[in-house]
Amino acid sequence: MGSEERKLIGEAQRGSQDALGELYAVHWPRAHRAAYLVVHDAGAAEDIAQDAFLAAVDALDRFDRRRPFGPWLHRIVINRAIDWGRREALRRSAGEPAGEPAPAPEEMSGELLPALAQLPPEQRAVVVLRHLLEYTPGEIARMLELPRGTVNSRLRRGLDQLRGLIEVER
Amino acid sequence: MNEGRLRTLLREEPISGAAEAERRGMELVARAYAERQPVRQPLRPRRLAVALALAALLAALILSPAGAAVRHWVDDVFTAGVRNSEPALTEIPGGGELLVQSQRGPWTVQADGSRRLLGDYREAT
Repeated sequence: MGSEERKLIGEAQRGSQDALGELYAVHWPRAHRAAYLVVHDAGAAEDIAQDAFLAAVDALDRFDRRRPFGPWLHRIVINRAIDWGRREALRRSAGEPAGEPAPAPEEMSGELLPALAQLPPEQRAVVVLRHLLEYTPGEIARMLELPRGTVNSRLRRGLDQLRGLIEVER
Repeated sequence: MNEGRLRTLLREEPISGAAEAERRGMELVARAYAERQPVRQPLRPRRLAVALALAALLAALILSPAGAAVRHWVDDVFTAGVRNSEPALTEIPGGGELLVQSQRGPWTVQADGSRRLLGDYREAT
């Protein structure tokens, strides 16, 4: 985290709406995209990203400026997205109607989402953390409180699976 | 598919209504921010502890008998290096002569303080 971000967090803690707006503008797009790529549902991704930012506002006064803001926010986003994905999978397996279910893989357009949809949410999450948000496997392990070996194996299996699916479709 | 291609796909996958979602999110977050009650930052515990310890030490130095002893000790330490005036032999209080041994040899010192080196001897009686 650069000194600029520390400064923005300090100003936001002292009540600057502009500083909060800048933090939001920097972090929203990636947080929202990360949520979307895990849940594949635009509405749910919006809710998850909003919840994460509301949690950030709630904890703003207690936030330690020496810590980076992005990983803290992404941890909330990814964990909520995984929870949402698990709940959705349970609903589907139980035959319960969801509010607005994410489209089935065969209904998705493009080549990425149908391939990602074949992975369980936990595996999608590590792929997104590694290849969209660019965290190292060690950082991902700490963020998700998983052994590093588990992160590495999820990444490897996820990539192998995606490689096969996307190459077949091209 | 390599990792570079995967990164590109992850970054460029279109999200329907992304701009509206960002605007709605900003409105909601700004409202929550405006309604929050800022918490006054307390003095950090470590700084507070250091300040209290220093104040207590200062009070002990000023007020207590033990503090006075510490003050004297500090005084001794800081004035130990001050050179006093050279001792001067002006007169032997009891009268008579003294035989004094130095590295250069034995000296005789008269009652009026005058002295004479006897020579390059190691000792004399």
